[in-house]
Amino acid sequence: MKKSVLGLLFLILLGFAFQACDKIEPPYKEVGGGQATDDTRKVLLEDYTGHTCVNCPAAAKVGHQLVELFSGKVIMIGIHAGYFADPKPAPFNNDYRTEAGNAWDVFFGMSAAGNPIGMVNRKSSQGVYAITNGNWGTEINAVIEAKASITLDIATEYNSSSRSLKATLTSKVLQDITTALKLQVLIVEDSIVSAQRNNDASIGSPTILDYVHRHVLRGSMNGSWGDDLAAAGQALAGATFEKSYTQTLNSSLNEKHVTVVAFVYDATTYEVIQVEEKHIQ
Amino acid sequence: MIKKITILAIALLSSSLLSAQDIFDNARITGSFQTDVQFYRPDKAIGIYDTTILGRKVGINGYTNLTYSLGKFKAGLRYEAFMTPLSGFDPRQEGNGFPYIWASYSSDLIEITAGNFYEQFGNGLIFRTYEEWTLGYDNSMNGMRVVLYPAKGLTLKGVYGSQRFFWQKYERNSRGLVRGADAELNLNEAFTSFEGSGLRLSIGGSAVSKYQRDADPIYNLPENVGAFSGRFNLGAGNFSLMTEYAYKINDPSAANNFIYQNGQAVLSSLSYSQKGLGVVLQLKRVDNFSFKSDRTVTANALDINFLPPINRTHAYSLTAKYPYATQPNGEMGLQFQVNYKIPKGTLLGGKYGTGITLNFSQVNDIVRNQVNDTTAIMESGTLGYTSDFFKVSDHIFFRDFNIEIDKRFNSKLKGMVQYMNLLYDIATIEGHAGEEAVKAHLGVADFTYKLSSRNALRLEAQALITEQDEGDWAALMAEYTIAPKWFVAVADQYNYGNPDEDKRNHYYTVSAGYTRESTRLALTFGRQNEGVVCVGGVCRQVPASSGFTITLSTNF
Repeated sequence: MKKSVLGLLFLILLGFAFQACDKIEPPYKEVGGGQATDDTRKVLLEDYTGHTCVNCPAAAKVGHQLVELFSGKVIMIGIHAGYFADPKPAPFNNDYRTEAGNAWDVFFGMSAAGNPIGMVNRKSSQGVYAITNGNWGTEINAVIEAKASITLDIATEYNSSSRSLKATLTSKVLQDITTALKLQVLIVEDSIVSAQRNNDASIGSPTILDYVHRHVLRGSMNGSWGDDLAAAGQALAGATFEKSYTQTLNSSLNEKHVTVVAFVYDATTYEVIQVEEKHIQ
Repeated sequence: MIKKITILAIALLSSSLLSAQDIFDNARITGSFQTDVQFYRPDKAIGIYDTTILGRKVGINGYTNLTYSLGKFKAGLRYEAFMTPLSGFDPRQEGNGFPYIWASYSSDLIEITAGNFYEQFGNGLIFRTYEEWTLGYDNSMNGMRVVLYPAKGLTLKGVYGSQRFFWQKYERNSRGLVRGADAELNLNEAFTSFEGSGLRLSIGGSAVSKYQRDADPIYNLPENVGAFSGRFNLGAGNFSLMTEYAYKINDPSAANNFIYQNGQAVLSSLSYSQKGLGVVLQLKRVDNFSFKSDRTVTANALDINFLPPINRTHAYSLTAKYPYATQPNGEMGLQFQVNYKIPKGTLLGGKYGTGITLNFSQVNDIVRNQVNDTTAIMESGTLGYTSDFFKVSDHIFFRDFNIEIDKRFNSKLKGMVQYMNLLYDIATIEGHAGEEAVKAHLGVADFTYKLSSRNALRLEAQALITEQDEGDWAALMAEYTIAPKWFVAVADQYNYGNPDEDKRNHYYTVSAGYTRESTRLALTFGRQNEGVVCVGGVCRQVPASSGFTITLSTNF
């Protein structure tokens, strides 16, 4: 009796073992892609980071892999905020924090949950906005095929000598949107070279002095929470909205690497429903 | 939630042979309650400003546990409220509700549990769920558990469900599912031929599998990940030997930087004990063995397994300042401990005997080799590395040598002195990349003097000497107890050797407590040092805090 019980048990365990295993053979990476068209709903990936955050370079790498994988469909910005973004003794004496970035960091509970952390389209699940970098791909994949309900076009005029920047945003509603909409316009600088702590040997040493910080949020053209674009019930199919902003570019920014990133979001849920990016030169 | 209560109520009421009277008269209800309240105030000297507190001047953590039992039937629940969580707790703890509700039935043959439960297979290498209130940790299962006792000495367990993740409810594909089975056979109980052989032997084996959907655009991920383990406990005379080995198939996750290597873990312990003497030797090897029910989670949450530490857990504030944290990605450790009691009546033993504890532990990294010339070690989306099972890396994560002598001098005075030599790789354990490992000497003296049968005074002095991190520390504490109800204590930790002169702060506390029956109230006023906690690749600042703390707890 005992033997048969044991034998049965052994068979059950063995069966369970083989049933419940997926052994993956190389190649481990998948090949994706896609082309952006006029009615593509682009995806905003926000990477909350800091120069003394050791695990952030690995997260930034994942972000760029996703930007490349979905070429033209994913727009990424790096937001330096929270404890690990604080200026420290050299070489970590740079300050890439912004008023808008700090406000979002607190409001959406980003660095409080631990860096690296991010958001995809500012979409929340059960009230939680924070998404760890291991999940960015899955979250982007879930929305990447969605069709746009509104378009967003950015036109920029930039005067190199006065460093005056004008951005004109034009939106056309493709499908009725019932909720109120807001528009956020940001200044982003790419490829800033300065020190970064690091924990990933495939990226570099523990302190990388010439780390390239990509897509760094440098400021907002219309405050931390943007401007009203359309009141509830106003954004009916066919309606168009236009707004423009002017700002003098801070002299510390390299104009060759500056882009304007703009997004339209749902004023109630904060979810980003369209995002666009344009180089100023 | 309401559904859960309804089910519970129906289960309670439909227990067929029970009259309403039985349910109330013959049943037993036990429970416990605790609430921790902290009031915060700005304290510029230790870097706390209004902006740090952000208007949240009070933090409260609290819970109540209730267990109802009637014959073979039991049910229970735990209510928790973190509003808002105390400083240093994960902000995702914020919330209130019943995270733990269960009902169970048990007989000599079968035990079933529905709802939330805690369970462990063997040493926990592939499965352990538990709760640790002070750390804000809870990875309880929400599902079903069956335990069978089909034959004498044989225990079979089966579990399945999802795990608790703060207050986020399980929704389809929101995170992984866990299912597992375990068998343990105690040969002494099962076979009469073992009786009187002088050997004690039990063997066990488990299998656990997790399922999580793969929708990742970059990696081709396994949706079902299996882990297996085998173990034995052997005893002969005063000796006992325990060994468990566990294996896990490819489990790329945020914790291991998405590498496809298999995982292995082994834990072994040999001990000898007789009156007045105990010797323990423990060995451990962990290789790529983080096992979570959500591969993307990096926080201290959703662990399916538990890798037991084999280091001494220190109890004093400075000796516990640099605690080791298991490195699930790879480590090899050893611990050796001798407890010896010098008999009374001898020269060194004196009238009461003298206790000596000698403890040594060291943990090194494992050796990792490149898979090929073009792939960096631990590069995501590759096999990651190869590792020789028996090779130990030169990289030391942690080393602790400590010796403790305790002695009672007379009926009024007893004391303890301890020396500790520590090596702590802060870069690995706390994620402070690039920082030098902390090498420290520590000393503790703790004396208690009984003034009368009810009044006692305890004095405690500690020193931590190091060139690294925050430099030297000293700590003093005086505690006066009026048994069995009252205590008052004053303490100060002084960071006098901080390389940054502005940070040579005093972290003082004044506390008092009152206990009556099983109810305890404690008040503390003081400061707590800031720190950074890193778990599984995510680091979070635990802010310094300053202010009042109230703890009230009771059992009934």
